[in-house]
Parts: sequence; C-alpha cells; structure tokens
Amino acid sequence: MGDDGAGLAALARLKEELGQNGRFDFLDGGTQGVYLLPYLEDRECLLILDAVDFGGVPGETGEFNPFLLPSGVGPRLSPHQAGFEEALGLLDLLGRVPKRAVLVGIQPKSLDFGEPLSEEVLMGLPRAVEKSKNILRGWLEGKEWGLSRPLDPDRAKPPAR
Amino acid sequence: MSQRIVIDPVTRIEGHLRIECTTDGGHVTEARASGQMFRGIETILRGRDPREAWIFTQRICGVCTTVHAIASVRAVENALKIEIPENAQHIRNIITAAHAVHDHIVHFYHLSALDWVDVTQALKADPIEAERIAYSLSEWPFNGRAHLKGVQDRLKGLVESGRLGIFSGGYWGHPAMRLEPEVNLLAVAHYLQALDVQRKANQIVAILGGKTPHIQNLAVGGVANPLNLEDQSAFNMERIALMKTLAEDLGNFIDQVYIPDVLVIAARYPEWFNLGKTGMAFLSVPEMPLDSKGTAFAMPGGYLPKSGQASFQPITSFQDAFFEENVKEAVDHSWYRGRGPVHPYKEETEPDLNQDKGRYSWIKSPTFQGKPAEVGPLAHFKAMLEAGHEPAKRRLDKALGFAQALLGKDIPLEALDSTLGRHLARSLRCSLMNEELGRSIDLLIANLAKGDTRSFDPPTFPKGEIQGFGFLEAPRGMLSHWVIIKGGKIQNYQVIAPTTWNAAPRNTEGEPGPYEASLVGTPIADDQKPLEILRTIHSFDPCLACSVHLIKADGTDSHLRIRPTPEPLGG
Repeated sequence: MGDDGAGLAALARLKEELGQNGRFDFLDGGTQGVYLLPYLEDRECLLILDAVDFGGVPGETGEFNPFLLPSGVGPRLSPHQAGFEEALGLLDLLGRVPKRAVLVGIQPKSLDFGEPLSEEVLMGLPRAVEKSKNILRGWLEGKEWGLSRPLDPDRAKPPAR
Repeated sequence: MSQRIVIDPVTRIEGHLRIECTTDGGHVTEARASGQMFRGIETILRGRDPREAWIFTQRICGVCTTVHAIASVRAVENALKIEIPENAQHIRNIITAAHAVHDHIVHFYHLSALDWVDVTQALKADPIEAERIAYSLSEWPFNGRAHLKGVQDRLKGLVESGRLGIFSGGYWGHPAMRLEPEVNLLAVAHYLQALDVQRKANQIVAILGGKTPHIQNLAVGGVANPLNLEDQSAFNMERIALMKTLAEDLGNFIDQVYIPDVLVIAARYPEWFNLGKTGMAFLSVPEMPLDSKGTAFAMPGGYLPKSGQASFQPITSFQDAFFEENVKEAVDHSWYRGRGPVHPYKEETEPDLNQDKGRYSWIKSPTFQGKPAEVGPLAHFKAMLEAGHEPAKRRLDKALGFAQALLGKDIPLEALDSTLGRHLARSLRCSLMNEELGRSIDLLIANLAKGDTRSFDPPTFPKGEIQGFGFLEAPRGMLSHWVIIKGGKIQNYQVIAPTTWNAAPRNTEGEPGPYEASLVGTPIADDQKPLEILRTIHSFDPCLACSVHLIKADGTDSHLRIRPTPEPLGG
C-alpha cells in the first residue's frame, strides 16, 4: 500500500530510539479500527503516527488534533469499513479521551498496492520521528501541546492518481 | 421518469460491493450487485500443504476469520475421512459460538442500527420518559435516567462543537426515519454499551484461540490447546470459569437489550416486514457438532426450496452426500473464463475481463439444485423451525408476542421473509448461539472430568488423490470449503462464502441473486439518499471481502458514492 505504511515505519524508528522505558506503550494498530478502543481509553497522552493527506509536499510532517479530523465516514455496508477515525469519535462520545493527543501526519506520495515507501517519504521519516520525540519529551515534562489546530478539510483531498 | 442510483463504496483497503438500482416512480425496478475485487486465495493455496490451508484461508477476511479457519480444517479432515477428539469439537464450537455472538451484536448496533435510528433526534429526548420506555421493555439495569442523561450530554457536546465525526454523513432527518426521540436516545446508549459487551465475546475467542482476529489454535486433526484442569500453564478451570462468566454477561445483554431493541424498531417500522423479500430457496447447514465424527448437531440446518415447490430437506452430517452433490457455481455473469454451473471440485478460477458484455461481478453465482438460494441467520432460523427445534420456536413465539403487543396487531409467520425478519432472526439466533456457547463449555468440562484430555490426533496423508468438503453455519450464513489433495499437496481449493450466495450476480438461467431480487419494489423517498436500499442490503450483513475472487485498485476514498452513472452494469 505504498506510503500508507509511513506511520508504521516511523513507529519502528521511534521505538528503536526511545526503547522500552516503561513510560510509553507502542502499538501497531493494524486495521483494527474500533477494536483498538481498549488500548485508547483513558490514556494520559496519545500520539498517533500515520500517513495523512493534508495537501503538503510528499514526506512533509504535520501536526493535527486527532479529534478534529474531517470525517469521511458515511453509512457503511460492511464491518470492513469501521475505521480508526470511528474509534476516536467513539472515544469522544464515551467521554474517555486522553488528556493530551496529537496526530503526527506524514504526507504520502502514493498509496498504490504493493509499492514500498516512496523516496520522499523515506527522506521525511527522520523529521516525523524527531517531532514525535519532542512532543513525547514535552509531555513527560508536563507541557501541554497545542491541540487546537484542525486538519483543513479543503486541503485534505484524496491524492491524485 | 426512470433514474439510476449507484451505491459504490470504494474503501481504501477493501473496495467491494457495488449496488446499482434502476428506479421508476419512486420504486426500485431492477437491481444489480457487483463485487469489485478478486480474492485469489485459492490460487495461493495450490501446491501447499493442506495442514496449513486454514492459516491462509482465515486471512481471506479480518472479520470472519475463525469460520474460514474451521471450515478449512473440516474440509481436509473430510477428505482424510478422519474423526477428531471430542474435546477438539467442543473447543471449536465454543469459538464458533462466541464469534457468532460477537458478530451479530456488532452487526446490529454498529453497522445497521443507524439505518433506523436518527442520532440527532436523541438530543430532543426526555431522559425520564426514555427511562420509563426502557423499563417497560426489559429489566436491563443500565437504562436509568442519569445514565441516559450522561449519554445525551456527551452527544450534545459533540454536536455543539461540530465533532459529530462518526455520525456525520448519516441520513439524519431523512423522511424514512420515524423513531421518537426517547427511543433514539436509548438506541445510542445501547450502541455505546454494545461496544463494551462485544469485547467479552472476543475475549472468549482469544482465551482459546490465543488471539483474535486470526486464531492460532487449530490443527487438522483437532486443536493445539493443551488440556489439564489443574495445570496453571494449560487450559484450566480458572479459564473455564472466566468463559462462563463472560457468556452469562453476553446472554443478559442479548435477551434484555438486543432482542427488545430489534422488536421496538420492528414495531415502529412494520412495513419493513413486507419489504426486502427474496422469494427464493433458503439454505443452511447444521452447526455445533456434538460427536467426534460430525453426525449429531445441537442446531439443525438444511435446504428449504422456494415455497410451494418441495418440502424441507435436512442436511445431517459432515459427510452429507445431498449437500456435496448439489452445490455448484456459475460464472456466466462474472469476470472469469467459462460458463454454466460447475461443481466446486472441478471449478477453475481464471480471471478474464475481456469477455462478452453481460458480465459485471467478481462474485460467482452459486446454486443449490440449480437454483439460487438465500443464506444467513434467517435461512438457519427457518431450517431450525422446519426441523422442530424447540429452543428456536420458543424464542420466536415470545418475540412475536412481544412485537404484536407493541404493534397492536398480528405478525404472520411469513413476515419473517423480509428486511426486518432478517434482523429478528439474527437476534434470536444470537440468543440461541449464546445458549450453545454455555452448553459447549459444560460439555467440555464434563468430558474432561471423565479423564479424556485428548485434543489432537495427528493425520496421515495417502499417496493418491482425495477430495473433501467442510461447511460451517457462519454469522453471515452457510460457508463451504472444497479441497482436492494429491500426494499430500493441495491440487485445487474452492471457497464459497455466504456473501457469495447472497450477493451473487445473475446465474446461467439469468435468475437474479438474493440482493438483486430483494431490492425490487423498494420505495425510495429521496434519490440522493437511498436509505431504503441500505436498509435491505444491511439486513443481509454483507461481508464482501469474503465473497469476491482480484483487487481492482482504482478507489481511494471511503465515501459512499451515490451518483448517476453513464454505463449500466452488465450493459
């Protein structure tokens, strides 16, 4: 799925650099959608790493409030369509959102089947990892992190093919 | 004026089902269902060791995983003509039942309830009145005004801050939405409670399967669970006790929340007892085998031909010849080489897009005795009634009595063949499955108490060619796997998933598949928001990743696209 794996690649590096220090849990959410709720409820802090099409340059990193994403979920036909954004929405409705949350998004170049990460996204990974580390360090020091910036829906068009 | 409506959700990972309807005068006059994705698992399996086929087949899907695993080992065991230890049968049954309970609850609350429930209307509800309605329906303790007020306040918070997120894009304010605000509020509260409850069913699957989705404890010849009631590291009494508690919690939710909710919705939308009928044969298989050979079952199944044509014919064992002989698949309207009905042992799955017009789906068209058939909880429930299964009949009588009291008029038995009937049958089957879940745990304990701790008999493979089939009555209906093994390697493999039956395109005779037939006559209030089509399609519980054979990677968004189309399907 090409650059769709950007978040996972960044997670692997972040995990390697920070190690298991007992203060963070790292989780590959796969495509489990709402079944990730038990891992998300009542957390102190939540940092999400994922490919996000925010209209940037491929490989660019952006920070967003995960609870203010424009929702693309309409009526669904099958359980395969209950995604991660639904899990976040339900967390909100259950009143169990984390105290602090950030989505670190990496602008993908291509989401085609079977392709590895694009050169641009590979080059951009260290920046995403650095940004994530800074946010996590800040949280450990008790800093609030600006959560108010929503993802601009007008810039978030699906990538051209 | 005639108008075409297309519903084509192309999700990023699993672009699957496309429904195309022609409407005239506010009603659907013709419908076509098309799978937009090729599966390919059968091709991957050729040449592999049949003992590992189940690991691949359960990857067909991320939702109905366990059923593809169990059907696969059943098929290989059938080819080998072997029995499995009784403990293994009970452990597989516990997984089958817990998976079914999970699936039915999630389907109703998280995938289809919002077809009937207008979330935004819940904001107008009076929590005290909602509490009164709730206690008139059931004794469920979590329907108090304070709880309901809390749900309403959080919902209000989301709406006011513009974060309706998950619920945006719903058909709010649609003229076909008719529940009073209080019932909408109850439904939203139960939607959230169901999130907690469904975990309990998944926990049972994980206790035995090691993890879920994609269990790890199966083997051709039994299961890989070490059994020792006193050993801390084996499957022991403590884990059995935990499973019992979880099953009891699930039972309370099903009987006190799920079934009453289905009945209240049914009472508010009674015309949907007359819509969505396929008018076809129903096919199901027996489930929950009680002996090591698969000749006695806790739940009956069988073939119920189109009404008035012939009588019910039960399917009674894992070796049932009537079943084995009568399943065929046609590809006359699908993107594969060939035509005409072919038996699954002889089938090829050769994709070919460059053929004559009139082909419009990656889904094949299965038939039983040459006829299309509806599968699913309704088919299974009807077979249980035909076979005189008392627990099914008892539940139906109680439910219909309850619905009639709410509605103030009789609901005839034929009303089951409908959009609402599918939901009702699913909820009642969920309750039956949960009862069987508890019973399977007891049977396992009883057998272990006799001193039998066997869970696996290693299989041996002959040199020549053998063939076999395995079936399973899965949450979405009858699933079958077919395998030909030569010299210990898979020569041919075919999966016929429940959604293949229901979402089938036209067959060799040009007869429509169940989705296609069920939609004709459906009223459409708003061409731009075809909620009514979704109601009926949802009632079947589609799972398209299971029933389509190539990935057509041409979709990127996850929106439900509703638009006029220049080219009709199958043109």
